[in-house]
Amino acid sequence: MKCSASVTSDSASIPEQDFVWGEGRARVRLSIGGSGSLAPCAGPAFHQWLSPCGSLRATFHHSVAGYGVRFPDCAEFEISRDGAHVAAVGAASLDTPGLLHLFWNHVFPLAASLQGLPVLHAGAVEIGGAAVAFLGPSGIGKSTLTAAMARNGFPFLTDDALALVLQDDEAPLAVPGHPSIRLWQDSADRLAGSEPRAGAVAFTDKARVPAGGHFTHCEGERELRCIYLLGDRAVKDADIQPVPAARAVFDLAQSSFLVDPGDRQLLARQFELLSRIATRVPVFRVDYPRSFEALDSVCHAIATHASELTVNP
Amino acid sequence: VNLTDKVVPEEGVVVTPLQGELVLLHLETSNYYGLDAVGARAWEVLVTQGGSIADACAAIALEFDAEPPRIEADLLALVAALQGAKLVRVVP
Repeated sequence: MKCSASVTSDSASIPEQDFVWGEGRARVRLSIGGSGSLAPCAGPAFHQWLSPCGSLRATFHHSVAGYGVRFPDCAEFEISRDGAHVAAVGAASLDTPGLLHLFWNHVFPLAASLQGLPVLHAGAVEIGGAAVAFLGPSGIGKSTLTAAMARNGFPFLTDDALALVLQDDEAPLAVPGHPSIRLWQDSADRLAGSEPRAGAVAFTDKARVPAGGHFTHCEGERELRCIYLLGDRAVKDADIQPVPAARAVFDLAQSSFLVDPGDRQLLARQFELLSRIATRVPVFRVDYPRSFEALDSVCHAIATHASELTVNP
Repeated sequence: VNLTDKVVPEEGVVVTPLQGELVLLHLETSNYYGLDAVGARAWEVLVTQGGSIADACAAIALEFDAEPPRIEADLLALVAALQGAKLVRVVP
């Protein structure tokens, strides 16, 4: 599949911009420009991302400067080896918000991970002054649960990419992400109702709901109290079970942003970071009934469980 | 694999203990592996202390409630699995 990348006039209007995650936890200078494909994406792919239905979402390529990430028919990015610089080329059909959306949700987390910040595919909300994270593969319901929790009065930190800052002998800090939640249309209709939507982007059917109204965004870093792995077991009521730390490392690894799983140095560093997280943060598997009608009671069960952890860690 | 054999870890295998268990990562294949409490104890005797499989069996028999024939069979199978995953090399 050819990536027909060329710069739109809209994209060209912001040739270079600095992005900061949290209070300077990761910084990336994004350059948008050029025409045609980026050179790194011309070589063979060493890694790829697939969607839950198995379609190709992105391919990863080595380059002289670092890594190329190609979203077929949408955009190509080159990330410097240190994660500090990203160059982007968008397809003609992709406007600037769409390109920035791809950058913020997929590329910035990869760049941040290169800067030593562990980043998980996870939603997170604030409960009792601490953060709790919802972890799982794409399509498992992270954003829907995050939105439901937010609607129940628990401000969200992120719906999809959770950066963590490790601290000596303490739980890691959860860093807030982009102040919006991306939801499939049915979830958006049920949970966001008449909340205003952000403009649609070309490559996804998900609706983007900016923070505001029922969805309060937690803008400060919060200590990560626990992690919930979202299960898909059919149950009548929410069922929460502890996951041994050694097992949790597997799940954390599967849900981590990592540019190059074949890079021994990156892999070893990630292993060390994830092991520390699993040691310091309790991990639970939560299975819950998958119906909108049950979501409020699921949120209540999770909030109660997390609050009890806070009181009796 | 025999009870008198010893094992050495392959290059590129990193290990971390977590709450009595072990997690192993093979940097070449990016595969993660887990060893439960018994496996972790066996790894300690075999890799950390350089003992034989028989030594590991003896240590486990002292600390866990299982019959020696069962322990020997389990450890021989464990070492074969570790060897198959290229996590260790068996040294006669």
